[in-house]
Amino acid sequence: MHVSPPQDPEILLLGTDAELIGASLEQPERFGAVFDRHFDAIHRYVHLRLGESTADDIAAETFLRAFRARKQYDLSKPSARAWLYGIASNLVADHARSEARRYRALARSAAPADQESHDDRVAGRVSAAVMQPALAAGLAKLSAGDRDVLLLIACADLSYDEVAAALRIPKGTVGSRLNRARRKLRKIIGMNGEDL
Amino acid sequence: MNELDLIKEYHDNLPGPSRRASARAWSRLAAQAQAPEGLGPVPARGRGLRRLAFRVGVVAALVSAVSAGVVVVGGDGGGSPLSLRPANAAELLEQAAAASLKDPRPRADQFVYLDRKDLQYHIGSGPEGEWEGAQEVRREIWVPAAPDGEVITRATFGKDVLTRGKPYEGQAAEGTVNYYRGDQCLAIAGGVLRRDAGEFPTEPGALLAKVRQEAEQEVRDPSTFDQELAPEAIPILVEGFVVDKLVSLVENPFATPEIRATVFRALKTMPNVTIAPDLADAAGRHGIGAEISWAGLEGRQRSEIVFEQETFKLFGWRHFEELKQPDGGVKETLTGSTALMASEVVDSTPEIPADNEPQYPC
Repeated sequence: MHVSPPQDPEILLLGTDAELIGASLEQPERFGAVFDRHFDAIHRYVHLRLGESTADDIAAETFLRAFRARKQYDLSKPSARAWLYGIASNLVADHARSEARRYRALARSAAPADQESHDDRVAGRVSAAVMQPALAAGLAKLSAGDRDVLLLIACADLSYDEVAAALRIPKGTVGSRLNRARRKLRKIIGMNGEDL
Repeated sequence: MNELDLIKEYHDNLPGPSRRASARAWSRLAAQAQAPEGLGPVPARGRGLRRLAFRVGVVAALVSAVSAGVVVVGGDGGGSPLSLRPANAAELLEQAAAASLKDPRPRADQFVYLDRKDLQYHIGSGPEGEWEGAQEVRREIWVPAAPDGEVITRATFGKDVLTRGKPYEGQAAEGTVNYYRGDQCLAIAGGVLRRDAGEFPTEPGALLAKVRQEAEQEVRDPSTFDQELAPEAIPILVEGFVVDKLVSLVENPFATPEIRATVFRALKTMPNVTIAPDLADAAGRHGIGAEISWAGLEGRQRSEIVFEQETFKLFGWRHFEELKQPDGGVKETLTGSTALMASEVVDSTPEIPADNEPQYPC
Protein backbone atom coordinates (compact mmCIF):
# COMPACT_ATOMS: atom_id res chain seq x y z
CA MET A 1 0.00 0.00 0.00
CA HIS A 2 1.30 3.43 -0.85
CA VAL A 3 1.40 5.69 2.19
CA SER A 4 2.97 9.11 2.07
CA PRO A 5 6.06 9.22 4.25
CA PRO A 6 5.35 10.54 7.75
CA GLN A 7 8.16 13.07 7.47
CA ASP A 8 6.42 14.82 4.57
CA PRO A 9 6.23 18.41 5.86
CA GLU A 10 2.90 19.08 4.18
CA ILE A 11 1.31 16.08 5.88
CA LEU A 12 2.82 17.13 9.19
CA LEU A 13 1.35 20.58 8.67
CA LEU A 14 -2.11 19.65 7.40
CA GLY A 15 -2.65 15.98 8.27
CA THR A 16 -3.13 12.79 6.24
CA ASP A 17 -5.83 12.52 3.59
CA ALA A 18 -7.91 10.42 5.98
CA GLU A 19 -7.59 13.07 8.70
CA LEU A 20 -8.59 15.79 6.26
CA ILE A 21 -11.54 13.84 4.92
CA GLY A 22 -12.66 13.00 8.44
CA ALA A 23 -12.42 16.64 9.46
CA SER A 24 -14.26 17.71 6.30
CA LEU A 25 -17.40 15.94 7.52
CA GLU A 26 -17.78 18.77 10.03
CA GLN A 27 -15.73 21.40 8.21
CA PRO A 28 -16.22 20.92 4.45
CA GLU A 29 -13.49 23.44 3.66
CA ARG A 30 -10.84 21.02 4.97
CA PHE A 31 -11.38 18.97 1.82
CA GLY A 32 -9.58 21.74 -0.06
CA ALA A 33 -6.23 20.35 1.04
CA VAL A 34 -7.10 16.96 -0.51
CA PHE A 35 -7.79 18.77 -3.77
CA ASP A 36 -4.50 20.68 -3.50
CA ARG A 37 -2.60 17.50 -2.85
CA HIS A 38 -3.95 15.32 -5.66
CA PHE A 39 -5.60 17.42 -8.36
CA ASP A 40 -2.51 17.73 -10.55
CA ALA A 41 -1.81 13.98 -10.48
CA ILE A 42 -5.41 13.03 -11.26
CA HIS A 43 -5.51 15.58 -14.06
CA ARG A 44 -2.31 14.23 -15.58
CA TYR A 45 -3.63 10.65 -15.43
CA VAL A 46 -6.88 11.62 -17.19
CA HIS A 47 -4.92 13.78 -19.63
CA LEU A 48 -2.97 10.73 -20.74
CA ARG A 49 -6.17 8.79 -21.28
CA LEU A 50 -8.53 11.40 -22.74
CA GLY A 51 -6.56 14.52 -23.64
CA GLU A 52 -6.12 17.80 -21.83
CA SER A 53 -9.45 19.52 -22.40
CA THR A 54 -11.49 16.48 -21.33
CA ALA A 55 -9.15 16.07 -18.37
CA ASP A 56 -10.10 19.56 -17.20
CA ASP A 57 -13.71 18.44 -16.74
CA ILE A 58 -13.13 14.86 -15.63
CA ALA A 59 -10.53 15.77 -13.01
CA ALA A 60 -12.85 18.44 -11.61
CA GLU A 61 -15.75 15.98 -11.58
CA THR A 62 -13.56 13.42 -9.77
CA PHE A 63 -13.16 15.76 -6.82
CA LEU A 64 -16.82 16.73 -6.82
CA ARG A 65 -17.80 13.06 -6.62
CA ALA A 66 -15.16 12.40 -3.98
CA PHE A 67 -16.44 15.29 -1.90
CA ARG A 68 -20.02 14.08 -2.12
CA ALA A 69 -18.97 10.52 -1.25
CA ARG A 70 -16.54 11.43 1.53
CA LYS A 71 -18.80 9.93 4.23
CA GLN A 72 -18.14 6.52 2.68
CA TYR A 73 -14.36 6.92 2.71
CA ASP A 74 -12.52 4.29 4.78
CA LEU A 75 -10.75 6.48 7.30
CA SER A 76 -8.32 3.67 8.18
CA LYS A 77 -6.56 4.36 4.86
CA PRO A 78 -4.23 7.36 5.32
CA SER A 79 -3.80 8.04 1.60
CA ALA A 80 -6.79 8.78 -0.64
CA ARG A 81 -4.85 8.22 -3.85
CA ALA A 82 -6.32 4.84 -4.72
CA TRP A 83 -9.84 6.07 -3.96
CA LEU A 84 -9.43 9.14 -6.16
CA TYR A 85 -7.84 7.17 -9.03
CA GLY A 86 -10.73 4.73 -8.79
CA ILE A 87 -13.29 7.51 -9.14
CA ALA A 88 -11.33 8.99 -12.05
CA SER A 89 -11.08 5.58 -13.73
CA ASN A 90 -14.84 5.12 -13.46
CA LEU A 91 -15.38 8.48 -15.11
CA VAL A 92 -12.86 7.64 -17.84
CA ALA A 93 -14.79 4.42 -18.50
CA ASP A 94 -17.71 6.50 -19.73
CA HIS A 95 -15.39 7.76 -22.48
CA ALA A 96 -13.92 4.41 -23.57
CA ARG A 97 -14.56 5.05 -27.24
CA SER A 98 -12.98 8.49 -27.06
CA GLU A 99 -9.99 7.01 -25.31
CA ALA A 100 -9.39 4.40 -28.01
CA ARG A 101 -9.84 7.08 -30.66
CA ARG A 102 -7.22 9.22 -28.92
CA TYR A 103 -4.65 6.41 -28.89
CA ARG A 104 -5.29 5.73 -32.58
CA ALA A 105 -4.71 9.42 -33.29
CA LEU A 106 -1.50 9.32 -31.26
CA ALA A 107 -0.40 6.26 -33.16
CA ARG A 108 -0.67 8.16 -36.42
CA SER A 109 1.61 10.92 -35.23
CA ALA A 110 5.02 11.04 -33.63
CA ALA A 111 4.54 14.70 -32.82
CA PRO A 112 3.22 15.95 -29.48
CA ALA A 113 -0.39 14.90 -29.44
CA ASP A 114 -2.14 17.93 -28.12
CA GLN A 115 -2.35 21.22 -29.88
CA GLU A 116 -1.02 23.86 -27.55
CA SER A 117 -3.91 25.84 -26.20
CA HIS A 118 -3.93 29.59 -26.02
CA ASP A 119 -3.44 29.34 -22.27
CA ASP A 120 -0.40 27.15 -22.75
CA ARG A 121 1.16 29.61 -25.14
CA VAL A 122 0.52 32.49 -22.77
CA ALA A 123 2.01 30.61 -19.86
CA GLY A 124 4.95 29.45 -21.96
CA ARG A 125 4.30 25.84 -21.05
CA VAL A 126 5.54 23.36 -23.58
CA SER A 127 4.68 19.68 -23.54
CA ALA A 128 7.71 17.45 -23.97
CA ALA A 129 5.51 14.36 -24.03
CA VAL A 130 5.64 12.26 -27.17
CA MET A 131 4.07 8.82 -27.15
CA GLN A 132 5.65 6.18 -29.37
CA PRO A 133 3.18 5.39 -32.15
CA ALA A 134 3.48 1.65 -31.54
CA LEU A 135 2.76 2.08 -27.86
CA ALA A 136 -0.31 4.19 -28.62
CA ALA A 137 -1.51 1.60 -31.13
CA GLY A 138 -1.08 -1.08 -28.50
CA LEU A 139 -3.03 0.83 -25.88
CA ALA A 140 -5.87 1.31 -28.39
CA LYS A 141 -6.16 -2.46 -28.78
CA LEU A 142 -6.39 -3.30 -25.08
CA SER A 143 -9.72 -3.91 -23.41
CA ALA A 144 -10.88 -1.11 -21.14
CA GLY A 145 -10.44 -3.29 -18.05
CA ASP A 146 -6.89 -4.31 -18.93
CA ARG A 147 -6.03 -0.72 -19.77
CA ASP A 148 -7.31 0.49 -16.38
CA VAL A 149 -5.01 -1.87 -14.53
CA LEU A 150 -2.00 -1.25 -16.74
CA LEU A 151 -2.23 2.54 -16.54
CA LEU A 152 -2.89 2.65 -12.80
CA ILE A 153 0.21 0.51 -12.22
CA ALA A 154 2.35 2.43 -14.70
CA CYS A 155 1.25 6.01 -14.08
CA ALA A 156 -0.08 6.15 -10.54
CA ASP A 157 2.45 3.80 -8.95
CA LEU A 158 -0.39 2.02 -7.17
CA SER A 159 0.21 -1.41 -5.65
CA TYR A 160 -1.84 -4.46 -6.66
CA ASP A 161 -3.87 -4.07 -3.47
CA GLU A 162 -4.56 -0.42 -4.20
CA VAL A 163 -5.54 -1.12 -7.81
CA ALA A 164 -7.85 -3.87 -6.61
CA ALA A 165 -9.48 -1.46 -4.16
CA ALA A 166 -9.67 1.35 -6.70
CA LEU A 167 -11.34 -0.78 -9.37
CA ARG A 168 -13.24 -3.03 -6.96
CA ILE A 169 -11.84 -6.22 -8.43
CA PRO A 170 -10.01 -9.12 -6.78
CA LYS A 171 -6.25 -8.79 -6.38
CA GLY A 172 -5.73 -11.90 -8.53
CA THR A 173 -7.64 -10.23 -11.35
CA VAL A 174 -5.27 -7.29 -11.16
CA GLY A 175 -2.33 -9.60 -11.77
CA SER A 176 -3.96 -11.49 -14.63
CA ARG A 177 -5.15 -8.31 -16.36
CA LEU A 178 -1.73 -6.74 -16.02
CA ASN A 179 0.05 -9.78 -17.43
CA ARG A 180 -2.35 -9.96 -20.35
CA ALA A 181 -2.04 -6.25 -21.08
CA ARG A 182 1.74 -6.34 -20.96
CA ARG A 183 1.92 -9.42 -23.21
CA LYS A 184 -0.30 -7.76 -25.80
CA LEU A 185 1.63 -4.54 -25.68
CA ARG A 186 4.99 -6.24 -26.06
CA LYS A 187 3.73 -8.16 -29.00
CA ILE A 188 2.56 -4.98 -30.72
CA ILE A 189 5.63 -2.97 -29.80
CA GLY A 190 7.89 -5.86 -30.72
CA MET A 191 9.87 -5.92 -27.52
CA ASN A 192 9.75 -9.68 -26.95
CA GLY A 193 10.44 -9.29 -23.29
CA GLU A 194 13.68 -7.36 -23.50
CA ASP A 195 14.06 -3.73 -22.53
CA LEU A 196 14.12 -1.05 -25.20
CA MET B 1 13.24 0.55 -20.61
CA ASN B 2 10.12 -1.65 -20.71
CA GLU B 3 6.57 -0.81 -21.75
CA LEU B 4 5.57 0.33 -18.24
CA ASP B 5 8.53 2.71 -18.17
CA LEU B 6 7.59 4.08 -21.59
CA ILE B 7 4.05 4.80 -20.44
CA LYS B 8 5.28 6.37 -17.21
CA GLU B 9 7.78 8.55 -19.04
CA TYR B 10 5.07 9.82 -21.36
CA HIS B 11 2.73 10.40 -18.42
CA ASP B 12 5.33 12.24 -16.33
CA ASN B 13 6.21 14.54 -19.21
CA LEU B 14 2.63 15.67 -19.76
CA PRO B 15 2.04 19.23 -18.59
CA GLY B 16 0.00 19.60 -15.44
CA PRO B 17 -3.36 21.36 -15.51
CA SER B 18 -3.38 24.99 -16.52
CA ARG B 19 -4.01 27.48 -13.78
CA ARG B 20 -7.35 28.27 -15.35
CA ALA B 21 -8.40 24.61 -15.28
CA SER B 22 -7.31 24.29 -11.65
CA ALA B 23 -9.17 27.44 -10.72
CA ARG B 24 -12.34 26.27 -12.46
CA ALA B 25 -12.19 22.89 -10.75
CA TRP B 26 -11.58 24.60 -7.44
CA SER B 27 -14.53 26.91 -7.98
CA ARG B 28 -16.83 23.98 -8.74
CA LEU B 29 -15.68 22.19 -5.62
CA ALA B 30 -16.02 25.35 -3.54
CA ALA B 31 -19.57 25.82 -4.80
CA GLN B 32 -20.35 22.23 -3.84
CA ALA B 33 -18.77 22.70 -0.41
CA GLN B 34 -20.84 25.80 0.20
CA ALA B 35 -24.08 24.15 -0.89
CA PRO B 36 -26.28 22.83 1.93
CA GLU B 37 -25.93 19.08 2.52
CA GLY B 38 -28.36 17.18 0.38
CA LEU B 39 -28.57 19.86 -2.26
CA GLY B 40 -27.07 17.40 -4.70
CA PRO B 41 -24.61 17.77 -7.50
CA VAL B 42 -23.61 21.18 -8.73
CA PRO B 43 -24.11 21.24 -12.50
CA ALA B 44 -21.04 21.34 -14.67
CA ARG B 45 -19.92 24.54 -16.31
CA GLY B 46 -22.53 26.14 -18.53
CA ARG B 47 -25.38 23.88 -17.47
CA GLY B 48 -28.25 24.40 -15.09
CA LEU B 49 -29.81 27.21 -13.21
CA ARG B 50 -28.35 26.41 -9.81
CA ARG B 51 -24.87 27.37 -10.89
CA LEU B 52 -26.16 30.54 -12.47
CA ALA B 53 -27.89 31.40 -9.22
CA PHE B 54 -24.64 30.70 -7.40
CA ARG B 55 -22.72 33.00 -9.71
CA VAL B 56 -25.26 35.77 -9.22
CA GLY B 57 -24.79 35.32 -5.51
CA VAL B 58 -21.04 35.70 -5.86
CA VAL B 59 -21.42 38.82 -7.96
CA ALA B 60 -23.83 40.29 -5.43
CA ALA B 61 -21.37 39.54 -2.65
CA LEU B 62 -18.58 41.17 -4.58
CA VAL B 63 -20.64 44.27 -5.34
CA SER B 64 -21.48 44.46 -1.68
CA ALA B 65 -17.82 44.14 -0.71
CA VAL B 66 -16.72 46.76 -3.20
CA SER B 67 -19.36 49.25 -2.14
CA ALA B 68 -18.36 48.69 1.46
CA GLY B 69 -14.76 49.48 0.52
CA VAL B 70 -12.08 47.88 2.59
CA VAL B 71 -13.24 45.35 5.17
CA VAL B 72 -11.36 45.28 8.45
CA VAL B 73 -10.39 41.92 9.89
CA GLY B 74 -12.92 41.13 12.52
CA GLY B 75 -10.60 39.11 14.67
CA ASP B 76 -12.33 35.94 13.60
CA GLY B 77 -9.00 34.29 12.98
CA GLY B 78 -10.68 31.56 11.01
CA GLY B 79 -9.87 30.36 7.57
CA SER B 80 -11.97 28.55 5.05
CA PRO B 81 -9.66 27.30 2.31
CA LEU B 82 -12.56 26.33 0.11
CA SER B 83 -14.60 29.51 0.26
CA LEU B 84 -14.84 30.93 -3.23
CA ARG B 85 -14.38 34.54 -2.22
CA PRO B 86 -12.67 35.22 1.06
CA ALA B 87 -14.83 37.42 3.24
CA ASN B 88 -12.00 38.98 5.15
CA ALA B 89 -8.23 39.28 5.24
CA ALA B 90 -7.82 36.24 7.49
CA GLU B 91 -9.63 34.03 4.98
CA LEU B 92 -7.69 35.52 2.09
CA LEU B 93 -4.35 34.94 3.79
CA GLU B 94 -5.33 31.36 4.63
CA GLN B 95 -6.11 30.82 0.94
CA ALA B 96 -2.74 32.32 0.07
CA ALA B 97 -1.04 29.99 2.57
CA ALA B 98 -2.69 26.97 0.95
CA ALA B 99 -1.71 28.20 -2.52
CA SER B 100 1.90 28.77 -1.51
CA LEU B 101 2.22 25.13 -0.43
CA LYS B 102 1.83 24.30 -4.13
CA ASP B 103 4.86 26.38 -5.12
CA PRO B 104 7.42 24.44 -7.15
CA ARG B 105 10.15 22.72 -5.19
CA PRO B 106 13.53 22.59 -6.95
CA ARG B 107 15.94 19.68 -6.72
CA ALA B 108 19.35 20.43 -5.27
CA ASP B 109 20.81 20.85 -8.77
CA GLN B 110 18.05 23.15 -10.03
CA PHE B 111 17.22 26.85 -9.85
CA VAL B 112 14.15 28.90 -9.09
CA TYR B 113 13.71 31.40 -11.91
CA LEU B 114 11.93 34.61 -10.98
CA ASP B 115 10.79 37.22 -13.47
CA ARG B 116 9.96 40.39 -11.58
CA LYS B 117 8.75 43.76 -12.71
CA ASP B 118 10.01 46.16 -10.08
CA LEU B 119 9.35 49.83 -9.64
CA GLN B 120 12.24 51.37 -7.82
CA TYR B 121 11.59 54.65 -6.06
CA HIS B 122 14.49 57.07 -5.74
CA ILE B 123 15.03 60.47 -4.22
CA GLY B 124 18.26 62.48 -4.04
CA SER B 125 19.98 65.82 -4.47
CA GLY B 126 22.86 67.14 -6.56
CA PRO B 127 24.23 70.37 -7.98
CA GLU B 128 21.02 70.88 -9.93
CA GLY B 129 18.81 70.42 -6.92
CA GLU B 130 16.62 67.60 -5.64
CA TRP B 131 15.01 64.92 -7.75
CA GLU B 132 12.37 62.33 -7.06
CA GLY B 133 11.09 59.59 -9.28
CA ALA B 134 10.77 55.91 -9.95
CA GLN B 135 12.33 53.59 -12.50
CA GLU B 136 10.92 50.37 -13.89
CA VAL B 137 13.39 47.49 -13.77
CA ARG B 138 12.74 43.99 -15.02
CA ARG B 139 14.78 41.64 -12.88
CA GLU B 140 15.18 38.02 -13.83
CA ILE B 141 16.81 36.08 -11.04
CA TRP B 142 18.11 32.51 -11.07
CA VAL B 143 18.28 31.34 -7.46
CA PRO B 144 20.16 28.06 -6.89
CA ALA B 145 18.64 25.42 -4.66
CA ALA B 146 22.16 24.48 -3.56
CA PRO B 147 23.04 26.50 -0.43
CA ASP B 148 26.42 27.55 -1.82
CA GLY B 149 25.21 28.11 -5.39
CA GLU B 150 25.65 31.39 -7.22
CA VAL B 151 22.74 33.72 -7.88
CA ILE B 152 22.55 35.22 -11.39
CA THR B 153 20.51 38.34 -12.07
CA ARG B 154 19.67 39.98 -15.38
CA ALA B 155 18.38 43.52 -14.97
CA THR B 156 16.71 45.29 -17.86
CA PHE B 157 16.24 48.95 -17.04
CA GLY B 158 13.04 50.61 -18.17
CA LYS B 159 11.44 54.01 -18.01
CA ASP B 160 12.60 56.36 -15.30
CA VAL B 161 9.82 58.79 -14.55
CA LEU B 162 10.87 61.80 -12.53
CA THR B 163 8.07 63.40 -10.59
CA ARG B 164 10.28 66.25 -9.39
CA GLY B 165 13.60 67.78 -10.41
CA LYS B 166 15.84 67.16 -13.41
CA PRO B 167 17.46 64.00 -14.75
CA TYR B 168 20.49 63.09 -12.70
CA GLU B 169 23.90 61.60 -13.30
CA GLY B 170 24.15 57.85 -13.23
CA GLN B 171 20.67 57.18 -14.52
CA ALA B 172 20.50 53.88 -16.38
CA ALA B 173 19.17 54.49 -19.89
CA GLU B 174 16.00 52.69 -20.87
CA GLY B 175 16.86 49.39 -22.52
CA THR B 176 20.16 48.89 -20.68
CA VAL B 177 20.74 45.22 -19.83
CA ASN B 178 23.23 44.21 -17.14
CA TYR B 179 24.05 40.82 -15.67
CA TYR B 180 25.14 40.43 -12.07
CA ARG B 181 26.75 37.49 -10.30
CA GLY B 182 26.38 36.72 -6.62
CA ASP B 183 24.21 38.22 -3.94
CA GLN B 184 24.57 41.86 -4.93
CA CYS B 185 21.05 42.00 -6.35
CA LEU B 186 19.25 40.43 -3.43
CA ALA B 187 18.50 43.79 -1.80
CA ILE B 188 16.06 45.12 -4.34
CA ALA B 189 12.98 47.24 -4.66
CA GLY B 190 12.79 47.94 -0.96
CA GLY B 191 13.06 44.30 0.14
CA VAL B 192 15.85 41.84 0.72
CA LEU B 193 15.76 38.30 -0.61
CA ARG B 194 17.77 36.99 2.30
CA ARG B 195 19.52 33.68 1.96
CA ASP B 196 18.67 32.55 5.48
CA ALA B 197 14.92 32.69 4.79
CA GLY B 198 14.78 28.91 4.81
CA GLU B 199 15.68 28.89 8.50
CA PHE B 200 12.58 30.69 9.75
CA PRO B 201 10.13 28.83 12.03
CA THR B 202 7.04 27.18 10.57
CA GLU B 203 4.84 28.23 13.48
CA PRO B 204 3.24 31.66 12.95
CA GLY B 205 3.81 32.98 16.50
CA ALA B 206 7.44 31.90 16.55
CA LEU B 207 8.07 33.36 13.09
CA LEU B 208 6.51 36.68 14.06
CA ALA B 209 8.55 36.78 17.28
CA LYS B 210 11.78 36.21 15.34
CA VAL B 211 10.91 38.92 12.80
CA ARG B 212 10.01 41.37 15.55
CA GLN B 213 13.23 40.66 17.46
CA GLU B 214 15.29 41.29 14.33
CA ALA B 215 13.38 44.51 13.61
CA GLU B 216 14.01 45.78 17.15
CA GLN B 217 17.72 45.01 16.85
CA GLU B 218 18.07 46.72 13.49
CA VAL B 219 16.19 49.86 14.49
CA ARG B 220 18.23 50.19 17.69
CA ASP B 221 21.52 49.55 15.86
CA PRO B 222 23.21 52.98 15.56
CA SER B 223 24.56 52.09 12.14
CA THR B 224 21.08 51.64 10.65
CA PHE B 225 20.18 55.34 10.67
CA ASP B 226 22.45 58.32 10.25
CA GLN B 227 20.72 60.24 13.01
CA GLU B 228 19.92 59.61 16.64
CA LEU B 229 16.38 58.45 17.02
CA ALA B 230 13.86 59.96 19.36
CA PRO B 231 12.58 57.27 21.77
CA GLU B 232 9.02 57.62 20.48
CA ALA B 233 10.23 56.99 16.91
CA ILE B 234 11.57 53.53 17.74
CA PRO B 235 8.29 51.57 18.03
CA ILE B 236 6.99 53.29 14.89
CA LEU B 237 10.05 52.26 12.92
CA VAL B 238 9.99 48.74 14.36
CA GLU B 239 6.42 48.28 13.15
CA GLY B 240 7.46 49.31 9.62
CA PHE B 241 10.47 47.00 9.68
CA VAL B 242 8.28 44.09 10.76
CA VAL B 243 5.90 44.59 7.83
CA ASP B 244 8.77 45.06 5.36
CA LYS B 245 10.38 41.84 6.53
CA LEU B 246 7.16 39.84 6.31
CA VAL B 247 6.32 41.14 2.84
CA SER B 248 9.87 40.41 1.74
CA LEU B 249 9.60 36.83 3.03
CA VAL B 250 6.48 36.04 1.01
CA GLU B 251 8.36 36.74 -2.22
CA ASN B 252 11.59 35.11 -1.11
CA PRO B 253 12.67 32.11 -3.20
CA PHE B 254 15.03 30.95 -0.44
CA ALA B 255 12.06 30.36 1.88
CA THR B 256 10.36 26.98 1.62
CA PRO B 257 6.67 26.82 0.65
CA GLU B 258 5.94 25.90 4.29
CA ILE B 259 7.68 29.04 5.52
CA ARG B 260 5.83 31.23 3.03
CA ALA B 261 2.57 29.66 4.21
CA THR B 262 3.59 30.43 7.79
CA VAL B 263 4.28 34.06 6.88
CA PHE B 264 0.75 34.43 5.50
CA ARG B 265 -0.62 32.88 8.70
CA ALA B 266 1.53 35.25 10.79
CA LEU B 267 0.14 38.20 8.83
CA LYS B 268 -3.37 37.03 9.76
CA THR B 269 -2.60 37.73 13.39
CA MET B 270 -1.48 41.31 12.87
CA PRO B 271 -3.74 44.27 13.62
CA ASN B 272 -4.74 46.64 10.82
CA VAL B 273 -4.76 43.98 8.14
CA THR B 274 -7.66 44.48 5.77
CA ILE B 275 -8.99 42.89 2.62
CA ALA B 276 -9.21 44.93 -0.58
CA PRO B 277 -11.48 43.26 -3.15
CA ASP B 278 -9.83 44.81 -6.18
CA LEU B 279 -6.20 45.84 -6.35
CA ALA B 280 -3.80 46.13 -9.27
CA ASP B 281 -0.19 45.07 -9.08
CA ALA B 282 2.77 46.84 -10.64
CA ALA B 283 2.01 45.20 -14.00
CA GLY B 284 -1.61 46.39 -13.95
CA ARG B 285 -3.03 42.93 -13.24
CA HIS B 286 -6.13 43.09 -11.10
CA GLY B 287 -6.41 40.80 -8.14
CA ILE B 288 -7.57 40.58 -4.57
CA GLY B 289 -5.38 42.01 -1.86
CA ALA B 290 -4.47 42.22 1.78
CA GLU B 291 -3.48 45.64 3.00
CA ILE B 292 -1.40 46.34 6.10
CA SER B 293 -1.20 49.90 7.35
CA TRP B 294 0.68 51.55 10.17
CA ALA B 295 1.85 54.95 11.37
CA GLY B 296 5.12 56.10 9.82
CA LEU B 297 7.35 58.96 10.92
CA GLU B 298 6.01 61.37 8.32
CA GLY B 299 2.53 59.93 7.94
CA ARG B 300 0.65 56.67 7.34
CA GLN B 301 2.33 53.87 5.47
CA ARG B 302 0.72 50.83 3.92
CA SER B 303 1.74 47.75 2.02
CA GLU B 304 -0.56 45.91 -0.34
CA ILE B 305 -0.04 42.23 -1.13
CA VAL B 306 -1.91 41.32 -4.30
CA PHE B 307 -3.10 37.82 -5.23
CA GLU B 308 -4.62 36.28 -8.34
CA GLN B 309 -8.39 36.26 -7.83
CA GLU B 310 -9.06 32.55 -8.25
CA THR B 311 -5.84 30.72 -7.45
CA PHE B 312 -4.58 33.10 -4.72
CA LYS B 313 -1.08 32.88 -6.13
CA LEU B 314 1.07 35.87 -5.27
CA PHE B 315 0.94 38.59 -7.93
CA GLY B 316 3.15 41.02 -6.08
CA TRP B 317 3.13 43.91 -3.66
CA ARG B 318 3.06 47.71 -3.54
CA HIS B 319 4.23 50.02 -0.80
CA PHE B 320 2.92 53.53 -0.18
CA GLU B 321 4.12 56.21 2.21
CA GLU B 322 2.77 59.60 3.14
CA LEU B 323 5.78 61.86 2.58
CA LYS B 324 6.27 65.50 3.46
CA GLN B 325 6.42 67.72 0.39
CA PRO B 326 8.50 70.87 -0.20
CA ASP B 327 5.36 72.96 0.15
CA GLY B 328 4.84 71.56 3.66
CA GLY B 329 1.98 69.28 2.71
CA VAL B 330 1.88 65.50 2.86
CA LYS B 331 1.33 63.29 -0.17
CA GLU B 332 0.87 59.55 -0.41
CA THR B 333 3.61 58.24 -2.70
CA LEU B 334 4.17 54.84 -4.23
CA THR B 335 7.67 54.03 -2.96
CA GLY B 336 8.12 50.54 -4.28
CA SER B 337 6.34 47.72 -6.00
CA THR B 338 6.96 44.33 -7.51
CA ALA B 339 4.94 42.24 -9.90
CA LEU B 340 5.98 38.59 -10.01
CA MET B 341 5.50 37.72 -13.66
CA ALA B 342 6.86 34.19 -13.42
CA SER B 343 8.25 31.82 -10.82
CA GLU B 344 9.31 28.39 -11.99
CA VAL B 345 11.94 25.71 -11.55
CA VAL B 346 14.62 25.52 -14.24
CA ASP B 347 17.70 23.39 -14.82
CA SER B 348 20.25 26.02 -15.82
CA THR B 349 21.25 29.67 -15.79
CA PRO B 350 21.81 31.86 -18.86
CA GLU B 351 25.17 32.47 -20.48
CA ILE B 352 26.55 35.82 -19.39
CA PRO B 353 27.90 37.80 -22.38
CA ALA B 354 31.68 38.16 -22.35
CA ASP B 355 31.45 41.95 -22.66
CA ASN B 356 29.04 42.31 -19.74
CA GLU B 357 30.23 45.07 -17.42
CA PRO B 358 27.50 46.24 -15.06
CA GLN B 359 27.51 50.02 -15.02
CA TYR B 360 24.62 50.55 -12.68
CA PRO B 361 23.72 49.28 -9.26
CA CYS B 362 21.35 46.37 -9.52
